Amino acid sequence: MRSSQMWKGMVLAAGIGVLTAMQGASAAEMKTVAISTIVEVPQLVETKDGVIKGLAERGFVVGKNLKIDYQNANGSIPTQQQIAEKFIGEGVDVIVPITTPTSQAMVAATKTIPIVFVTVVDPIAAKLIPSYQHPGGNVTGVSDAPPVMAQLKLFKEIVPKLTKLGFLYNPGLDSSKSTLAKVKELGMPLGIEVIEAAAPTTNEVIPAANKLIGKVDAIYVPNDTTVVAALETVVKIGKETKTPVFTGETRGVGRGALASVGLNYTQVGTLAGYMVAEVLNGKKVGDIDAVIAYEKIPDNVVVVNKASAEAMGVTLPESVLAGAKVIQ
Amino acid sequence: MFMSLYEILGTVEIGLVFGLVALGAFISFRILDFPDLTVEGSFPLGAAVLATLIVGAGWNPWAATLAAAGAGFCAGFTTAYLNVRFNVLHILAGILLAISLYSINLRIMGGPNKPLLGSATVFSMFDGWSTPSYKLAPILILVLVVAIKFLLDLFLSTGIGLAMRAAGANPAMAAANGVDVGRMKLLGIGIANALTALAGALFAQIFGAADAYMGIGVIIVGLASVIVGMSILPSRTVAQATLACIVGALLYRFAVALALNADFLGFKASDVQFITAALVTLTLIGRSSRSGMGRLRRLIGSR
Repeated sequence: MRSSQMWKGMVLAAGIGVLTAMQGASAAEMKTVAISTIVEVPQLVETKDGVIKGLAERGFVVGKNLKIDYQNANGSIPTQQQIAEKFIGEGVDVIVPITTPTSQAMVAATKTIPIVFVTVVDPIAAKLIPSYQHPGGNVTGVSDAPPVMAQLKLFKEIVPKLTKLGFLYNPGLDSSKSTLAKVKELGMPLGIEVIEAAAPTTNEVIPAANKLIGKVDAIYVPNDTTVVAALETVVKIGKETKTPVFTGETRGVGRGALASVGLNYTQVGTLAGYMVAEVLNGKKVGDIDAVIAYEKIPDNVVVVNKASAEAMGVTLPESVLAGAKVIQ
Repeated sequence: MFMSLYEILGTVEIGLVFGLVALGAFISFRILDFPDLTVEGSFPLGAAVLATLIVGAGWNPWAATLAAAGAGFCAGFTTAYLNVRFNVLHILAGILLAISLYSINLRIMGGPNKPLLGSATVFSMFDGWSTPSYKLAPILILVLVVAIKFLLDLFLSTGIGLAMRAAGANPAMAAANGVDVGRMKLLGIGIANALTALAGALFAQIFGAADAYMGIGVIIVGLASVIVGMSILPSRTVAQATLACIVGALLYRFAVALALNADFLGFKASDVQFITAALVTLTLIGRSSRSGMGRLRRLIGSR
């Protein structure tokens, strides 16, 4: 019984050896960029595609002089940790972590391999970098903090009587907490009071939304993977009760929300791709300033949904329609 | 490289940490026959308590780790108390604790994520050594886990330990012989969750943060480790069984690592869960006497 197990082990070891040899042959002169995310949701996949696009624009093309090692932790934080170890053990050239916990795992695991994080709302609170300007160390990246000020101004323009804004979010997500604080802070001078409704899981989105109805002039759904997963339901409630529903990302407007100003995540990823290219060209990662995406992307897109506006009892002003992408 | 030394050591490190979770699952599921789901909340609880004590209160990392285990004990004790004192169904009691711990963890951390980057951890003591930390940290964890395994073996052979095993194996008989079955559940489930929270605290220090979502799937991994370990290794005595749990946790983590490295076979990054499950299943089938491998083994064994 023991000997059979030993045999199995030896066969496995031999197999691993052969595979190692096979892999080693084709990897010469290629730069390897390792990308990882905690889960695959549209905005994170777009970020990843954006990084690859940005690299290509700067001359690093997959298959030619660039190899991408892409790993997704399938929602498991322990698996995320193992992905960090895999990347570092392989000695990749640059690591691109997408989302906060993914970035923390990578930053905790290496002080030497360059890291360019992307789609992290608040990298300073997450202790990834000490400051945006000249972060030093081996880490820099792109924050996807939403353009909250532009969003609130747009909401106010569409719903002039807006004084109470419902904020529907999962309190277990760092990014949503950070956005909430920002909305509260920036809403105050505009005369907007924020009323929170927490939905820790997608199943609790309906009761949380119902709780807001009658107490608020509009509902804001931030860039929150839990709530966004049930966005259609929130939109339906908004239409039934004539409560405007706004989202923190423009894709939500295509799914029935009234309007948003938001980031294009492919562009967010592209910004990070440019940074990675700079690192591959020899620039020290600590010398590259970390950036907030919406400050670097000149045209934040305004998107409005005409059908939803009608159903939610809102007339879209011409001033908004003029510069916006309109979904019928 | 198929799997670098760094990745192997890292996998061993995480496997050993999850060995503690497996030991906890062994106590609750196997010894006490108490399907305890509290661990889904006590794993992140350990991480949350540790991170808050280190970052917020400036505690010594070792003291914070110990406090995290203590918090886990309280969580498990509460679950068992609901069951023993108020007759709440054991599974439901665990679920209630697990979901309430989600909110409690957010309260403890003051948010969903508490970074430990740049803070002192139990691994900081290796800073400045000539051997890199990634080689020393697994050794530290190994020493810790082996020590806990032996302490647990020792405990389970004391009078109280024997009474606990009796309480799980045959509650009626144990009660007839003067064992307080309820008290044994309180103690046992408390210890199981203390081990899980300890694992959470150690893991947070490796990961660089405590996160509200750390606990997802922990119970499944713990159980799978116990079952895999016990099906491939002998588990007649307590010492053998606890060893099997730790080995099972290591194997599970290596299955994940292999799955992460399976991309050259045409697998996609999102297939990792499936491949992990397939590898674990293959291990179990390979052990089954009904499979070809099992028959082969019997043939060799009978010679």
